[in-house]
Amino acid sequence: MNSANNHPLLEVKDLGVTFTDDKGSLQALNQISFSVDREQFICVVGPSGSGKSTLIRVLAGLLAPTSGEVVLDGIPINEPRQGVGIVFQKANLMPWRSVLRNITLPLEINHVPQNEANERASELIELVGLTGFEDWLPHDLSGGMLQRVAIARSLIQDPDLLLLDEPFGALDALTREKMGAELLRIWRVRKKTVIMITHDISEAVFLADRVLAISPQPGNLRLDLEINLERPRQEDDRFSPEFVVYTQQLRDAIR
Amino acid sequence: MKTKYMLWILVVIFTAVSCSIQPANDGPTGELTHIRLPMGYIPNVQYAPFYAAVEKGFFEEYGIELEFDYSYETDGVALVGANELQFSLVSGEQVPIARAQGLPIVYVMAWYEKYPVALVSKTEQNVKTPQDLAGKRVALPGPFGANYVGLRALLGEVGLQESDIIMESVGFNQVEVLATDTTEVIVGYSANEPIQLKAQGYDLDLILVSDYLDLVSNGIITNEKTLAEDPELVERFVSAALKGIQFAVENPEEAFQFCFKYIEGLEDADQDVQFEVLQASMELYQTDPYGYSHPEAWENMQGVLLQMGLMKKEIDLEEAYTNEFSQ
Amino acid sequence: MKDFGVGIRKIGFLVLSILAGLFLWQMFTTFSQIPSFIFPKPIEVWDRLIIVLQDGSLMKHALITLQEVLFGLMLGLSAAIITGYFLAKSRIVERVLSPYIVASQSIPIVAIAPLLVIWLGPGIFSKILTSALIVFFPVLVNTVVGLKSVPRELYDLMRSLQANTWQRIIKLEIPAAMPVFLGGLRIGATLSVIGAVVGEFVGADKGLGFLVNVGRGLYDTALVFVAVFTIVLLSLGLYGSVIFIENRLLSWQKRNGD
Repeated sequence: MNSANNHPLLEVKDLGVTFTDDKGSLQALNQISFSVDREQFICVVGPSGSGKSTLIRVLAGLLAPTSGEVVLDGIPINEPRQGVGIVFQKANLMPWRSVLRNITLPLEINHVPQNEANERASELIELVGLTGFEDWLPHDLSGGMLQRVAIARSLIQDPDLLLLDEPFGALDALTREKMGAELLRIWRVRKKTVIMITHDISEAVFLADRVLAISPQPGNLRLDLEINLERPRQEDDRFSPEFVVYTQQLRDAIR
Repeated sequence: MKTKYMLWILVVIFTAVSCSIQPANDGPTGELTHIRLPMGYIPNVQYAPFYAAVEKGFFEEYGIELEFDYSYETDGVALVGANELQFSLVSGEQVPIARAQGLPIVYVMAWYEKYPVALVSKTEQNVKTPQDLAGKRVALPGPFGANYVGLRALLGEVGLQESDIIMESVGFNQVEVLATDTTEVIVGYSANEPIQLKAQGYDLDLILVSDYLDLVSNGIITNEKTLAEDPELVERFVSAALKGIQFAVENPEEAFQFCFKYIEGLEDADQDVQFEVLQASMELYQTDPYGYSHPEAWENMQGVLLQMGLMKKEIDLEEAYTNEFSQ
Repeated sequence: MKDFGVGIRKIGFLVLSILAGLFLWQMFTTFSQIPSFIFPKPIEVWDRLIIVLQDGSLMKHALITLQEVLFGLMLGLSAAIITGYFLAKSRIVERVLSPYIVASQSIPIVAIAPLLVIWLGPGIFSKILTSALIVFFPVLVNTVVGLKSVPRELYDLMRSLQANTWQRIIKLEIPAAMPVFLGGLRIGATLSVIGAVVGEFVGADKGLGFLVNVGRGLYDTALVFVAVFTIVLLSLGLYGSVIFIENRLLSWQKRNGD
């Protein structure tokens, strides 16, 4: 796809974010540096208040860093740009739009003709397993289905980088595990670079090639852990000794 | 302890109650008939004869305790018609209109002899006679009430139609619309709008409806029931009111002084202008004899109202008024 | 089919309640022997209605009022939407304007209606403006509340999709603020009729408010009733239209719970 396959897709250099208001300032992220190769699946874990969401907002270009920089494909990120798909904490769908129209929203904004948009959407609808629900309204869907719509929407512009901000946080444990497996399947088909925020350590280990552990206030990068579990991963992997060791290491890092 | 307090409270309540009841039963006001009189307009120096009649004790002399009521004229007529009230001060045209609708009211005392409506314009408009109105823009509160009746009567008298003028409904804002030249002619009360405008330095021409046509004017109404069952009350009321009118005619300045108690803000108003309003209204009074209304003025009024369509059928004017109480 | 049955029953109850009201009214006026210039009987009002329908005067006056109301609504709505948008978007505008807006809300419309007649003349404009003024506030408030209720996350979404301002307004803010906005419109539509009638009350020679004045001036209480019922009907008609628009535009809200 891209000629520059020899350097990392994303580089985060000495990233720092400080929020300042009348009451004082809060350092959310401090001196974060890491890089992500193409088609890697990265999970970022950390307790609440560790600035995970701040990190995702900076990567998405929704928030400008106070210090340091984020370089995507050789270009610093200062504002939202093409080639990045985002899945928010809440599914964040427009309740007045049907499943299909929610998924095609990004194309609409970029003036893609409706025929082509519908075609591309129906492929994704099939991929996320929502065939038959095209005309349903978000009100009538379950939490898991809503996030499937959100994932389909984030993929419709065929982004290089997919950012997920605790996408399954609001789901029950069973749906969560199922959605995790779904996500892996989609990732395998679409071969995207994924950065996903989660507070669930075992979810992170199960999904990721690498897990970054961030500590709270200020958010420092404590551990950059490579997960060497064989793919495709199986549900049983969660009970393997390596899995337990990885989760233990991460737990210690962010304590 | 508690019962002792209760006892004291009871004593206090008892005393308070008996104190408040006693004067109502035995006091001097107990013998007076309480009358609430709708005046048809806001407190105004034009009502000086009535304020004087109360202050000089004329009403009390005739056994009446008078309370003024400043609600709408039509409400006053309806309340008397329904015998909720016994008397009201109304404009002349209201009587045939109301009787035609089946309200059993009777006009028992003329206060004004002359119909009070005038057409007012700045002198540069050159509106000296009713004929000059043709093609002019004429503003009035709306096509209802004494202003409208006066205008139509005047037009009819000189053979003009409503369509010969440009009629504008402006609410009770005649002074403002004439002052700002929003219109050319206004219809108003000769004792009100022109005096206010003159006080602001405008030169005006007035056409008085009463110079062209006798129309029954402002006075007191009662209802058929009161007239039949308690003519003595009507007699007392009219006598007291006429005494007030006579007093005001003879002592205008003293009558004016009584207004201060009844009209809020009169102290701060231009006293000369206000006194002029009173004097101008006095020129309209029926004084010879007091309280008398001319049969011809009734005939004329009925004719105008029928022509205007404000009455659908003719009424028996004999039942609409009586001069039995005039003096 | 089920909806149809419910509709029939609703209409049935409505007819029943109107009939019961008319019956009580007739009973009350018959037995209390209240004179008809105080409280007319239903049949007298009906007769009066037939007369003004046949001579076309009711239609004429109603159309004038309707015209004032529609223009008033349009004017009030546009002013409220534009002001509301800037109010919701800008802290500075909010701070500068809100004292005036709060004060304007407490102006009794009856008190300034005569002034409007002086300023704008006796024609239709003063009525349009009284109507617009009375519409303005509830619509403004709901526009602001509606816009402020648009979820922050959806703004983030639109930003991340690089939507421009126009796309943000059309695709996000308008549909998201619509339910609250329409709630304001519902109130505004009903009030707009009152505004126009108040304007006519002050100084007019046509319109339903004028017809009320005529009825009062002639002790023709049946005519007053006819005019008042027509005013109510007009209000209900406008209210119904807003409900109709709501049902069309907000069908996405109604589907849950099925």
